[in-house]
Amino acid sequence: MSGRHDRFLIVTFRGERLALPLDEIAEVRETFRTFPIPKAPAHYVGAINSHGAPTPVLDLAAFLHGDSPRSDGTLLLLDHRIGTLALRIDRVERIIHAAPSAEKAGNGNEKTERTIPFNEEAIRLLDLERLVTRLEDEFLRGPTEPFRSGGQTQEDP
Amino acid sequence: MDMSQYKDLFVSEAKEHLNGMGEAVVALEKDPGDPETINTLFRMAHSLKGMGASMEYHDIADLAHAMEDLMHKVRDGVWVFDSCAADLLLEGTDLLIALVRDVEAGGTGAGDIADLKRRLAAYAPEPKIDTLAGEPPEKEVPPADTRRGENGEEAGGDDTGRSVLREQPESQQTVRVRTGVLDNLINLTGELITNKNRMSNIARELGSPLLDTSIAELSRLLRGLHDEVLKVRLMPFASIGDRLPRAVRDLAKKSGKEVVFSITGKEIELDRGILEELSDPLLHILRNAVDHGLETREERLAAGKPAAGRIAVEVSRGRDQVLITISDDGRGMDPDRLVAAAIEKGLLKEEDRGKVTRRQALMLICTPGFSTARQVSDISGRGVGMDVVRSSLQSLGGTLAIQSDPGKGSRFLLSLPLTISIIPILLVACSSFTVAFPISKVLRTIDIRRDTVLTRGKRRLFRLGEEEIPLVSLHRLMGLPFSPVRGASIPAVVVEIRGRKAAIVVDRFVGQQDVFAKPLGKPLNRMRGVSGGAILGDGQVVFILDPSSLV
Repeated sequence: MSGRHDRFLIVTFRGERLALPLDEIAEVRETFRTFPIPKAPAHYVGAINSHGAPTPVLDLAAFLHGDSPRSDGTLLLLDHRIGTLALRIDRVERIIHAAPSAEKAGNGNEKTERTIPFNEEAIRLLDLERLVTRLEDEFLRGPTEPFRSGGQTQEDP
Repeated sequence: MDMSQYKDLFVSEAKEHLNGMGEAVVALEKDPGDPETINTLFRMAHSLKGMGASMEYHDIADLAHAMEDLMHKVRDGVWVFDSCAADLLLEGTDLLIALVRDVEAGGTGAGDIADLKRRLAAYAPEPKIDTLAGEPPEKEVPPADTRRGENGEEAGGDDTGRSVLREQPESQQTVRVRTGVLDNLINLTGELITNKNRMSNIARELGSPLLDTSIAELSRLLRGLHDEVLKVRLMPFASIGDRLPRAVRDLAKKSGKEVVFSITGKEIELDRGILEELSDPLLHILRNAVDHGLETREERLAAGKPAAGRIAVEVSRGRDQVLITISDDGRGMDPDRLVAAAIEKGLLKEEDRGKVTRRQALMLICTPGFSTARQVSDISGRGVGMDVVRSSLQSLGGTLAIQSDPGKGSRFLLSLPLTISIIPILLVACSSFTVAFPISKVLRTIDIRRDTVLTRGKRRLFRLGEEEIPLVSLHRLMGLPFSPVRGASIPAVVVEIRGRKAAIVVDRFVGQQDVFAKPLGKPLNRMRGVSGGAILGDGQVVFILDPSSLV
């Protein structure tokens, strides 16, 4: 895979930087209105209307670090080849040209496994295909956790 | 000359020819002397040879040539078509399909054809006694005019050729369109309808008669556009049905059973998207029919039935629905045995034994993990089960019903919408959610009087006629916080879940409307209980629930 991407989006969320392959991002959206998704885990902020297609919004910080999901910020809509998904981040910092590092074990964190050099920093590169696969697996594993964590389940009326 | 620009066209036409060849071989096996089918098969092999040669797919051309040579001898009355010839030709069509798929995937269409070519060339049927005695074959096959064009196509001139020309009147000229273009067209039409609904909402707020008139006209035009776009997407059932005789033939051979197979209504049209998803469920039902439904020759004769079992696929059109019935005259299913097996497997409780209706008992075969097959067979003991068949149909907005009489046979009734894109939905509110049920899945809506709710252990039920129907909370199904339903009555949507009725309790009914239903992409397509989504006129995103997988 090395060398497949040469342009990357550097994004920030909750003070953390992350790199994403630019050719796998279809659109950046600053304003959006979400609607709840039934049976979805809490890291989904909701769904948006993206050109007529219901598209779930995943809060990256909530998914990666278990933070509370937020519905403000910026959305990155993935290219449809990768998935029908929008990622909520705080902001897009810049676009850079760079060569990613060789693939490495990931130190137990399988969500990212390569880095991008940026301002003498090594920024983690998010593998979006793997991310979408993980999200699919999460639904397949079911039953999913309640939409609102900590919610009490209801007896039949 | 760069021929790559014609690759898609080659693949598409080659697949059509190969489907037709498979169908013709199976038809010839039943009626080996039918001159029209003999000529059709010959002509298709010949065309494929010419197409392959012109595109420089030499293995495809060579193999088609070898098949054409065999058919040439049959056509000229030198040989009588027999089951060995059928086997060879079917093996040839299978190999050609693989080569064409290789071309489609960007390959060269090359493969190991040497052995089959040799066997085709060496093939000679068992000599018939009357032929040995110097008598002519029983049925003379009139040779077709073999004037061939540069590209391998034949000029008409015989009756068969003329009949083919008659089947393609000039008024029905066609053009090939990439399926992606059709999908885009229906998507754009759906979005136009969504936007029209949005404009209707704004017009209501503005109270402008001029705008109302314009929107009414826009609605009329959009309905026309939508109807035409849907027509473009329609394809005849034959596009998948033509493969079924071949499949049944192979299944019958494998199981050592004699089967007479028939299809009616192949001309009936359905949405391309539905047809694509229908192939596997149909094949599974047919596999079951051959493998488990039909008895062996000996069992049939002992039961006073003809040695050959009958399987029929009938396609008919109702109002906004297409009905596909797959029936067999085999051993049928015994509802009592099905119930006993379900109890044994822990799928039903002993106390349910007397409560299960005949219809519910037959639907038990669609329960995951249910199988009464005495042994696993190569044919239908593996792969998808009837539960997958039913859920596939449900995801298409269709339904499955089963009828069966022990000793007489079974009927599987598949009811499908003509199109899948624009569907009527029932909107309901549940906590902060507005979600939708496809109207096709709603048996009825009801406001249940609170004082009529019965309690059986932990379960709550209500009586609807003679039936006791359990209540299920939509809050609970969606994992939402507890929110008791207030008021004297409880609004509920009655649906069928795994052959049993259930009343899904909601907060309130919101309304009913037609929406452009969108399939969900990755990762939401893996979410159980949700079959799609839609955008309402006010821009709101709603998810469409699938009751059968929600519970």
